[in-house]
Amino acid sequence: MSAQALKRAGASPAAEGCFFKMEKINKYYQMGGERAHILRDVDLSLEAGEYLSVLGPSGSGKSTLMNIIGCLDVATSGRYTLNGRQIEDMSEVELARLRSREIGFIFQNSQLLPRLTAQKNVELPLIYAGVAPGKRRERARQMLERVGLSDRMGHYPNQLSGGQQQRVAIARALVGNPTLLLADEPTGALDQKTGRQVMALFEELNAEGRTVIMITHDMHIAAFARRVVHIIDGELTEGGDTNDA
Amino acid sequence: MLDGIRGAWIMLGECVRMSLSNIMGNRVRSFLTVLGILIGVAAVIALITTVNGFSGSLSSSFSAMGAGTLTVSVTGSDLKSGLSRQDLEALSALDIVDGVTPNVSLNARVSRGGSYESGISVSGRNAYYFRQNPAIVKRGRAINHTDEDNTTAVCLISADMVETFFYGEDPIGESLYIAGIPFAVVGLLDGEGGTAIADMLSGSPDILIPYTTALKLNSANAVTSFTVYLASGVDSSDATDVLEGELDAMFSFEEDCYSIMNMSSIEDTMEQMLGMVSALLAGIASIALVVGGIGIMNMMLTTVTERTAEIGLKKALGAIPWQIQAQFLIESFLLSVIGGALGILLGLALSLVLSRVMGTGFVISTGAIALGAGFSAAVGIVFGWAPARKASRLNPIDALRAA
Repeated sequence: MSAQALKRAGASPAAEGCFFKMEKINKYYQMGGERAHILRDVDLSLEAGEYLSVLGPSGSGKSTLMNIIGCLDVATSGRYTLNGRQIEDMSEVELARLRSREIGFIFQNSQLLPRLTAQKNVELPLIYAGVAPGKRRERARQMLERVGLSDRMGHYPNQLSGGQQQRVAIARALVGNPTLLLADEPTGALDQKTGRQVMALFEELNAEGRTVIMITHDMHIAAFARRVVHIIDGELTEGGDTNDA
Repeated sequence: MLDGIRGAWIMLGECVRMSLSNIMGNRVRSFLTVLGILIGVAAVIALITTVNGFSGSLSSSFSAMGAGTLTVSVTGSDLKSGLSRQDLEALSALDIVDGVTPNVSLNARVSRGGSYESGISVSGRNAYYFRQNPAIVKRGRAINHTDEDNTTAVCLISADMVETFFYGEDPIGESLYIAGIPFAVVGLLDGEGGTAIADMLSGSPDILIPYTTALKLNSANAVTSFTVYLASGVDSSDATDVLEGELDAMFSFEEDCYSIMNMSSIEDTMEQMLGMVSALLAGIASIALVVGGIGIMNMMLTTVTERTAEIGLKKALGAIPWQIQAQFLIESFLLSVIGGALGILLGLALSLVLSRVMGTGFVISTGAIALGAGFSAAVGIVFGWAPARKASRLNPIDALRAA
């Protein structure tokens, strides 16, 4: 468990030993008169500092699971506790604050704002958290240095390669010092070599004690994680040893 | 709490910066979007400034012309058709009155030698009139008391008359037939004519003669139109009251025998009318502002749709709905205010040109500028509200999926 995560978990008595826990999560969607059952009794718990892959084909419900893990969406039923906080019944504003504090998102297409420089893109989450400009810039610089882009801070996204863009996105995910890094197909838009570089970066971050959840359909990518769970038709099964995946 | 306010402040500052970069990043589109506001504000500013300038110069010429005068038109009663010379002298003798100048108008056939012209406007005045308006005599002499007393046949003629009847000659000392009677030309009138209110209302007469002579030509013995010059420092409405008392007595208290025109009340009425006209025009121009606002709203709705992914991303990164709403509201506000500012500049430039062309004064009206600025700011907020709200309500999942 990272010192950071321990400190956070310790801040709330109820959170003791309960870093990430999903119990009997169900999600239904109304789809043209039919009620689709997307997630079925999903149970998942994580220790701080774990590195988990959620592996599943498209349509398996993995995006929905990611949205719920990322607090972008709430489950229809079940309990989800993140860093000692109960997600259900939170308001939109509370969820937004939670996202800004606890979760660092990394999307498939890095999702950088084209009109902002790399540094400004990294600062973005801190802007919404109301961090003062000086502090913000300092943090963004540190994070860009961490991902090896200290010489690209003033560049705009279209002046960066795909791998560099994804690294900016990772710096952005790290800048708020989140409890959880949540990556959705982080190498989906990259070639193999750059993909491996990004995976190497994830391993480093995990080795530093950061908790990482990676959602992917690619078993080779999933295999980089230390633990893999499979999701098929909304049901989650433990994948055991990553080497079998 | 304090941290929250500070955080909000930081966020708003960033919103302004991002909005400006969005507006400047789409310069042509932004310009076209604000064109409606620009034109609306420019129209309002130009109209108000021009009307203000016009009414300013109108009132200054009014007061130059009519300050301290009252004009009386007499319709008369069965017993008394107008004022006699004695009546006029009695009025002149009043404390509040400096002098009285009758205005006896007629249209006459004027001839000299073989040429003639009909319908020439001839006006009879007294010596006092020429004393009051010395500038109207360009050359020669004015009409004096002797002319008045003796109903002499002398006249002063305008430049038009000189051209018609004395082309290439010196008219002074020559004679001119007015209604068949020979008049000696004793003076030439300045082209600008007199400054009597009667002249302003009916056009400058071409020929001035002694009013007693004019009465004779009209086969009349009473004056039905005259101007009263008030003693200095006399309030025109007080004077009107005194004059009414005197005239009532002269007409044996019969009703509707005369009317008194007070220059300052005419000026007030005209200013009121101008004010109404300018309000009406500004109202019409503000329709352009509403249309401009709709343009901004349309643009903002498009922007929100285009930037759905951006909104989703920001929400995922922790932006709360009001922060998203603030960002789009600030953007539409800035768009509108930029349009308004350009409109104010254009409007002032337009009214400067108009004032030069029309020869009226150019006074920058801070009220009009405040109106234009306030209006455009309000338009930005009112018409930006719905798109900003729409943006803030986007579901982050749907918004992210749009990427």
